[in-house]
Amino acid sequence: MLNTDNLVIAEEILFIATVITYLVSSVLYIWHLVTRNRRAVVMGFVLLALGLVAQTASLLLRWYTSGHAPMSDTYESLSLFAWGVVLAFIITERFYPVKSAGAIVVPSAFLISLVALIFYEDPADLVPALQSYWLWIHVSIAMIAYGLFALAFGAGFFYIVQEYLLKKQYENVKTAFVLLLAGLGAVLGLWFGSWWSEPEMVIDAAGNPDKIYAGIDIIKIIGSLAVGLLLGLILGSLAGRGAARPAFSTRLPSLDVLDEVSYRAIAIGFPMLTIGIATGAIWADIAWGRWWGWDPKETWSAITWFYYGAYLHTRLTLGWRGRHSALIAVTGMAVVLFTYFGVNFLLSGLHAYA
Amino acid sequence: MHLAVLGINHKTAPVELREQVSLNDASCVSLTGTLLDDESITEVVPFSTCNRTEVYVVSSRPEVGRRELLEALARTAAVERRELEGCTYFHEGEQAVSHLYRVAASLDSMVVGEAQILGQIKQAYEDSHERESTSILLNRLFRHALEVGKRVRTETKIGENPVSVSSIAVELAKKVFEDLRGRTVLLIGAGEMTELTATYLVDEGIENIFVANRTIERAREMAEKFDGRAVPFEGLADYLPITDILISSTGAPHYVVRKGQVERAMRMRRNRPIFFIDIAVPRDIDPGVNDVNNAFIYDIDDLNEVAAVNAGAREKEARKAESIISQEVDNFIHWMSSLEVVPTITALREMGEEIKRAELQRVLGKLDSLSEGDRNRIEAMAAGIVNKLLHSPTVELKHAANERGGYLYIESMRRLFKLNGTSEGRD
Amino acid sequence: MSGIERAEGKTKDAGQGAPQGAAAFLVTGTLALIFLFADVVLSIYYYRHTSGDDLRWLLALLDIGLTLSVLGLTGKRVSRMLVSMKLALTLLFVILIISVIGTILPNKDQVATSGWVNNPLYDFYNAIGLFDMYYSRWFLFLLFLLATNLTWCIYKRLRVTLKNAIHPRVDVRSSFIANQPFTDSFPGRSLDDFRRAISGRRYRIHQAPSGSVLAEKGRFAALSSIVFHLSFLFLGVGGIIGGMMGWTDQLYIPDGSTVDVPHTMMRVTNHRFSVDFIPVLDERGLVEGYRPVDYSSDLEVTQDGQTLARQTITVNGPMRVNPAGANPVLNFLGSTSINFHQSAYDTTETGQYATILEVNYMPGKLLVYAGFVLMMGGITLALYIPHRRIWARVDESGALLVGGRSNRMKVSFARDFNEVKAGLVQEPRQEAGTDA
Repeated sequence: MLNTDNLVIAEEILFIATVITYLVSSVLYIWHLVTRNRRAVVMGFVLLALGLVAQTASLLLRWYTSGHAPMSDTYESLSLFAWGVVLAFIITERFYPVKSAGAIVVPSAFLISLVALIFYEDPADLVPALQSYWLWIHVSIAMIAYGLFALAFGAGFFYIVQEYLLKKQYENVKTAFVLLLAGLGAVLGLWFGSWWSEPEMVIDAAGNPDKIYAGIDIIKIIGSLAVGLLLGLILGSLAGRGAARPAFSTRLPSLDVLDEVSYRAIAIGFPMLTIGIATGAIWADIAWGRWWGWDPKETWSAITWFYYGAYLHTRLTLGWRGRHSALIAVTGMAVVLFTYFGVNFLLSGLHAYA
Repeated sequence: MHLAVLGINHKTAPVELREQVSLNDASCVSLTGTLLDDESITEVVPFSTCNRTEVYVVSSRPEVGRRELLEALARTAAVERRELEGCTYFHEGEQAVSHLYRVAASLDSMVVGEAQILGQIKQAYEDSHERESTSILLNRLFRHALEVGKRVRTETKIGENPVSVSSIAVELAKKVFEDLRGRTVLLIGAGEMTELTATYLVDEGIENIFVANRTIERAREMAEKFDGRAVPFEGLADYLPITDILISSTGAPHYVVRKGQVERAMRMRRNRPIFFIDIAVPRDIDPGVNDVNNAFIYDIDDLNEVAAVNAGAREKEARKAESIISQEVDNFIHWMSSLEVVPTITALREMGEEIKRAELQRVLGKLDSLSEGDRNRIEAMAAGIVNKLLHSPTVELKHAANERGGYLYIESMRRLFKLNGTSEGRD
Repeated sequence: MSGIERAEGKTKDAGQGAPQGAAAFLVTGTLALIFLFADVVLSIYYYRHTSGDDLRWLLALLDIGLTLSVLGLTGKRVSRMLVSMKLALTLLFVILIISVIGTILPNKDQVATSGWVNNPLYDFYNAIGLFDMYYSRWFLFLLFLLATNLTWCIYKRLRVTLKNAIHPRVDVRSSFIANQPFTDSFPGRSLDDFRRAISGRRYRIHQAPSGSVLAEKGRFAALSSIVFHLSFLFLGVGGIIGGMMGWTDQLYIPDGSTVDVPHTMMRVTNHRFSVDFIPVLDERGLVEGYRPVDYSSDLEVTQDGQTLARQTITVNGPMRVNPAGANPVLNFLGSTSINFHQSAYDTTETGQYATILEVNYMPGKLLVYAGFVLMMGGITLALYIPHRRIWARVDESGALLVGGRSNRMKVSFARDFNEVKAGLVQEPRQEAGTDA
């Protein structure tokens, strides 16, 4: 009965169920934002919680069948990323009136888990370099930090929208939506393009993965970038047109709450990222004999760290808050995404596993 | 059994007349007494708010109508009947039910969707209930009306978009500051509108109130009302750094608050937001203030614009509410019709006939040796028993229908004999 | 970095007497000459010998010394600029931008197989360290400059912070209290009432002769940010020590062979290398190839014929060996051990395995780890330990004026403040006023 193959099948089915649940939950959260239907948001929350349970079960099953923490390949770390985002949102949603922020956070979690599903692979044994309990500590802490930054991004974006609404600058609301969705479209397009023209991943003699660039297909990348950008622009202008009216303001949380949530998320996420980097350094010291080596992933995580450090600095010592802080939190997501995806897809280095 | 309502409201009468007709507790008692003196009137609920005065009655004679009610109301309010006549409305039966439901759902209010009306109806009904001037019909009607009012509020968004300038201002302030408790408000100009908005803000938990006015006495007066502090009009800029919400309505021909002052204040308050409400014409606050980071400014045009949008939204919700109401009116009418004497007696008779037929069939089926004559005698006996048994209840019912509280008999009859097939499940 | 501190210190004193100013000039000038001389000599050596990579750290340090002492000579204005927050942020920004560029360029291991070798300017790029950017003389120079700036900033902040913590601002005017984010006034109340209302909340009370009172909590909270910034210096100094004194080498040892460990008197023997493979399946479930699951080397380290250690190392399980006769203090600090890491493997011409080890010596790690601990502690304290202050004084109208602020956790401070207020309100009439 407890055949490993069956468990692997169960794990994949649970994950597919999770993705679908997140999709439906996203639709409900967006529906709530558009119509203020209370039932939609209650159902959305229940589904989201169920999805989280299913995903947790799926991750645990994978842990059990593979014998190592589910953080080694792209699928696992993406799934964990989505998990972190959902968990951070569910907890925040219980303490702050930020239901409408779900319309951006939950779809993000859905997209991440969808990408994870595309990358799904059966659980495999770890490459030698990852066989360490530091893997578990290092990756999970970094993922929680990223999840919190994603939350800060969602709250920050809605802060900007709410502020423009309250200032009656409706053109800016449209611009904000267009920029966001176009940016998202571009990222997804770029990602899809590089996946489409994926360089061949090989395992070198020492068992470390390495990428062979057999000539990147520029047409594919630019093409999918353009399509993503275009779709984003269209969706963004539609959403912007819908949001740019006074009544939309009542559907969003208040500025105070959005600002607070964005700050709190970073105030917790930043120490988390610090621990994530420090544990990474300790692990690097154990595995490679140096705690810092300017590997692209290391450099970019340092950049992310300084970026959010700057956010806290401007806030705590210069007294920034509101739109400036929100803008930093929103742009920060681009830095996080690059550290997380961009480095793996576009640059090569020791962290090419996930 | 006959339900009727006579009323006067903001749509039919000017405010002077409404004020005159408005009923206090004492006049409610006297009006009730006057009406109940009429033998045929069995139930009365008077209901009065600042926008309307209505009286609901149940009488046994359909002839008791507009004229009697008008007279009683005119007498109680001490106004000429003729004066009142053209300003009132009168509904009977289904229309009366529908009217009360619309009032309860606040569709008939001056501000559609306002929330107080439900509480006022509840109070009026409870008062009448205590005076024992209500019975089965109005009890049921008013309880049902309160339910309908609640249902409309929960199932439609009729109460969600504020439409008055003051409540819009408060609503917007809550979109900047989640919680208004403990915030500081600065009132510039001690006008009526400022005062009204300030009252709303105090309800939301605003604690610290500063009042600035050209004449300091007037400022002190108003500060007194809100437990606040009067501050010098010339030095009001010094208070900007500690002000969260500013409401201004002076008659000044120039700006009272300038952009530079706000910029300075914003630096001192480390970018905590300020919400400006400018209800003065010409404007008191430099519109350029809106460009200052974390400063939000709404002038009277902005607020009116929001009001118009919200009123439109309420209009849409009102249509949903109307369909809920017509459905609920149908339910009530259905129940009411079950209280009519004639159908009740018919139902009683039908039941008797049904029992008789069933029993005869059962008994005669077993006794097939009987002769035709015996058979007829047994049938006649059964008919006799049923008729004798039902005779007295039938007579009493007809009689009771003309008495006060007669519906109690009808209701009891229906319940005892399980005739309430028509009003099942709606209690 | 000592140059600028001294120069700065002396220039300050210069206001009091010219001879001291002249002496400072003389000292700084001498230092500048010494730095210049050492820099030139070593630079020539460095560029004549490509193997002199270890000198880069020293050279960068000398460059810093030279820069600072020359700038010190030019007077106060420039040295002020050098220690300003603006420079710190600019440097940080420049370093981050360069780091980003660095992640795009191939590193020195990758460059040989990249298209860059065919670039006509390849030799020039290589010479300026474009492919080993993070360890180039100029990048290190920027890092050291930032560290110098940081040191000075920390020193300045520490003085101010300690001064404020020891002598807080007690003597304030009424208008100052009235402008605090949390403020209220209580007619007819006295300072004693305030003391009574605040007692039992573990606030520290200060009294000024002019009649104002300060109740304070968490007065050393500002130190947390200094601790946080100090952690960078720990990381930096740890990095410099590691970079200057440490080394890394690759060893190629066929099974059964023994080789010398460079920079030391030790020798290492590879008794046996072993590797486990698992099959890699393609989509149809057929074996596509094999993938190593884990590999290990059975190593023995000897010095003067004595065995120091024998251990089987894996990729995540390195071996640390202290050379015989190592300084016990350094040993305790973890700064003497030579680390043997399993890096890769190879098959020799004769068909036997050869293990590839990475051997390194990286002192200063303890400082780095201490830096991480300080950093975490500093961040947590800086984000979550508030500095709360409540001032009180009786104003001109005879009312007790109370006002306070907290730099963090304002909600919990609001609660504190309201409770103090409640303690001061006598009548039920509550003239309240807070600002959450």
